[in-house]
Amino acid sequence: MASPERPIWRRDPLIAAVAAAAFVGLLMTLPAPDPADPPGGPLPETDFAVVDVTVFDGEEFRPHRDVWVEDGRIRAVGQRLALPDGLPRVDGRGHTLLPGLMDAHTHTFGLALTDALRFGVTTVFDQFTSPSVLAQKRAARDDLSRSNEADLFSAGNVATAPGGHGTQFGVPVETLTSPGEAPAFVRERKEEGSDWIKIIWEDGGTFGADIPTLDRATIAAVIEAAHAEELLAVIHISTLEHGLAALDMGINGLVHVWGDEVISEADAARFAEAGVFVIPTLSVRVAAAGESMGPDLLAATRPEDVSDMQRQTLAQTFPRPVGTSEASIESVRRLHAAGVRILAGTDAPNPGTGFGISMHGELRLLERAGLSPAEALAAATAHPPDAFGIEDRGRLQRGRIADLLLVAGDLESDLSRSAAIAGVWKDGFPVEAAWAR
Amino acid sequence: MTANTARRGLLWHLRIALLETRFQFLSSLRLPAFAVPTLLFPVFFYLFFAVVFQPGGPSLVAPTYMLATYGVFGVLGPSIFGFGVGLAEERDTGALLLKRTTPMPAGAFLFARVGTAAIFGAVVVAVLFLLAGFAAGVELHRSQWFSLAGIILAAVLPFSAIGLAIGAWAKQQAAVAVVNLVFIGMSLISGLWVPIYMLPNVMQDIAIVFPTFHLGQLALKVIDLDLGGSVWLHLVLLGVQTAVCLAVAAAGFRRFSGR
Repeated sequence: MASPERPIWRRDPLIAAVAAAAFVGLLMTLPAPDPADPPGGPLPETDFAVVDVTVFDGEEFRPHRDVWVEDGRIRAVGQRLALPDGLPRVDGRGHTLLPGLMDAHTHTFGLALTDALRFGVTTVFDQFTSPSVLAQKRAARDDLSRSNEADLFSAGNVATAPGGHGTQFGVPVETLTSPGEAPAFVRERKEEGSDWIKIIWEDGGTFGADIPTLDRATIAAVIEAAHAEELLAVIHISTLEHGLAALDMGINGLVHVWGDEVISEADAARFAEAGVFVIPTLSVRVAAAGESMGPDLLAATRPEDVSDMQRQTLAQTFPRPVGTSEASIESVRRLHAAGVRILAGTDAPNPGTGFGISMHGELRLLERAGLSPAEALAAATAHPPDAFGIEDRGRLQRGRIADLLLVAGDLESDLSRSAAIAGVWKDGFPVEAAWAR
Repeated sequence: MTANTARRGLLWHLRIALLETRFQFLSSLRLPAFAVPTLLFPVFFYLFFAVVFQPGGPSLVAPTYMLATYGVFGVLGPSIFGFGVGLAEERDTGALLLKRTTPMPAGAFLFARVGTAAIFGAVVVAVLFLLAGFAAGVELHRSQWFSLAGIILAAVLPFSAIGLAIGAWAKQQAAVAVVNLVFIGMSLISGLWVPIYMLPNVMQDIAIVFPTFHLGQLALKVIDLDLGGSVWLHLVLLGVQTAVCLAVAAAGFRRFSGR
């Protein structure tokens, strides 16, 4: 009991103060995460984590996620991962992390794969290139060592008629003229390394030319032969009529949308029912219609970020307008509304487009066609590998290759932030990216 | 005269309040029926669900999430039992009447009750945080540890208002049952035991009327695991709910005084 000289309440403030100090001391000793570096500086490689970032996983945006990369593959994606001490961490706050972009329609030559990667495109689905290029680049797909090139999947050589579209570029092309040649043609492509079969159906009618093209029976035979070899068949068409005819022949995908007329909702539903995917290549469609995005993309880019070839092709124009942007965009809107799987592709390096850089324009065009930011990004990440049966990329998921694009800002509210590149990783290695601050 | 005035000043009130808090705390601590469940319930639940039965995989979401919810749960107990049961008891046994005859200001009485709940709450928070940080592997930024502790301890105020409302109306024998019902019901529906996103939507809709829900969400917001509601909406609803509880309590006290 306290003596009269030391009243009992004397000690109360002291006890309260000591208890409060002990409580604060406890809070000070509790474990805190390792510090994370903002993405401005040098980025870590192969083994690292991007922490507290909004991820777009290939389908949806998910805030406050950690993405853990190990040996160039994604080890885990989740909230509050138990990351090992000392693992390099990139502070992802205020940023969006997504799978590296997939351009589902390119033609690879020169520095195409380097140019693409610099703009965050980590894999291209090429729709016609020399089989020797494809053979040369094939090994890089499964090789997780440091590289400055996007990975390449390709149709290789195309199925076209003698003197037809595709023969004018100087690449030697095996042509065919009758249905009977289809099985052998497809087998040769398969042996050459073609990942799927691409068919050209182009009579030049939409741009006032008269070009030799495959007849319907031969096209149908090539599709059938491709399926017999367990390969997908995709087709270049320029008109809605040809698109619908290819649908009836059992095509797997269209590598362009037409520009001549708007599809009816009923026909759009037929594409959806058949499970046919469409790579609209709006970038080249609007360029063909005389509304190229090339100049805008160039204007928004520092000169040192684009190669001579990108600068050149972005600035090029078609000799005369073909189709209308509106017919193409409105058709994509209806196809998408009907549930058709849309794949983002640019058709670079055609006039008005550039490798890699045009994917950022394509995203905005897909948004104009009614796709939400998440849907447009799905078209540019998860859908192309899904459509072509490739399972090691395109989503932020355990085990997939760490091909990553980090952008500053919130892509969900502003898709144009895709150009605010803060980092690009290929196989877990950071690459020198365009637009990066 | 001057000395006398000084004695009745702020310092005097503070001394009385602290002294009453000490005795209130000691008497609560010596009441095993109050102290044991209050301290052990949240700690055992957390140990069981978040540490021992921690789901596999590399994610620390579960122990982090439950740290916030069991923390809020941890202050709910002392707040509503202390006021709800303790007050009903003191009133029905006449202890409250006796206290009113002493020169102790009513404020000191309330302060002591809230303070006692806060001390018990702080002990629970300390144990939970130690378990989370050193047994479950939870890592938070320093500011998050402090914010979380602050929000959880601040929950003592709205929760005490609930206890006050119950204690002001319920009879001593009924108070234990009523408080238990409120304690368990609100905790469960507000997602303090099981994450709210795992509950049926109907329960989520009901939860919005309970302060426990809003405190849980505010605590979860610190660690980015809340449902995404607006902070201001949570605060406004919490304020309204607390005001209603205080009004109910005031009506109860008027009835008691008028008897």
